[in-house]
Amino acid sequence: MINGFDRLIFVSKFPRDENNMNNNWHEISNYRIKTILTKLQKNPNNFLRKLKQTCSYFKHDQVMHIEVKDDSIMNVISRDLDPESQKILSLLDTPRTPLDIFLKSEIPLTTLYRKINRLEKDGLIIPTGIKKINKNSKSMVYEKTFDNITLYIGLKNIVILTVKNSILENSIVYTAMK
Amino acid sequence: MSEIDSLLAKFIECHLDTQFGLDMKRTIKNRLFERYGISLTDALKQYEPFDRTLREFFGQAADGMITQLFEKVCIVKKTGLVTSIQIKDKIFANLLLESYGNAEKKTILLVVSSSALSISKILKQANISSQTTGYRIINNLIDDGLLVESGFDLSLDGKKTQAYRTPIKKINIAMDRVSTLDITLEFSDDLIKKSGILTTIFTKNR
Repeated sequence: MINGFDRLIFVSKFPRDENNMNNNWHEISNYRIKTILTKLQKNPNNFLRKLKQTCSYFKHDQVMHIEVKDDSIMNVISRDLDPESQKILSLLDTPRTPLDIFLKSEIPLTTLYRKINRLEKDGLIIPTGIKKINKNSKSMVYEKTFDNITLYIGLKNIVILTVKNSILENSIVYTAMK
Repeated sequence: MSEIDSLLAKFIECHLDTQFGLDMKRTIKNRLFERYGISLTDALKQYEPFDRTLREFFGQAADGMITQLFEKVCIVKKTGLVTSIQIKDKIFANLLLESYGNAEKKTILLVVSSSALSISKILKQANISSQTTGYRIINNLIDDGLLVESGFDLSLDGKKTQAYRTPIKKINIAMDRVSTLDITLEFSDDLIKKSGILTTIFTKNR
């Protein structure tokens, strides 16, 4: 399964196909990512060249940071920092189900699911497992992809991401960058 | 009228109730109208009438009150030669996030971050082809206080028209491990010198 960091890079570098807007977002997102991965396998050099033009990594205080000089990633992240999404992200430092988030944040359930879907689609949170809630129902458990996010908006737009180590280790993008 | 003061005035006005109480706010409002013939928002934008009126009521204690009031909206930081402000007001922070999260608004704000331009030039430089959309976005930004009038400029057809710019030069948004947001704004030096509000906070902090 594709991880959150890769998803964010793919989603922002290859914008959505507006003609398919009637379909379920998850299908579109997964379909697009599958297409991107096929293209990547066919022509990895082209993708790497594109990636290295915008992404780089550096170590600071024993922590790996990813620097992205790209407007599209900035647009994706900044549209996801509304008050409700901030609340959701603050609760997802530890893995939680949507119901846990609902009980702690008091965000209306419909809004909560809409925001969670959007955050997941954009790669800011990832499903990490399934939890049994009661005898008949199960629910997805979500966790945050990034520890820190910093956006510098000015003459040059720069995003610095501190990705969780477990996610970075399994990332196609990070492996390709190395 | 300073561009930075125009931007901050609306948010400072929201904190007047909690700082002075409703009755005192009404008294200040009435006195401003009686003496200068201007509204509370205009007084904050021009800063000096607001400062004088508060001194009339509170004397020297006004200094502390003004700083306290302004620090509910922002805190001034100076690192080396760079002066920046950290946003404390949640409504202001959300407005900035919403505006810089919208691709078209962000492009417009970046186009006018260094110099003032007429609306037609802004739309051309921001590559916004639809005039209706462009004017709607610009009007929204003016209402939000992120675009402020700043002198005059020649429009594309050679007419002298109102020019607009944003006082914000750079914006840094940081989200830490517990997802608390820290938004810092940087302004041009010439605009900081013109701002009565920032000068007041900065002088008190020194």
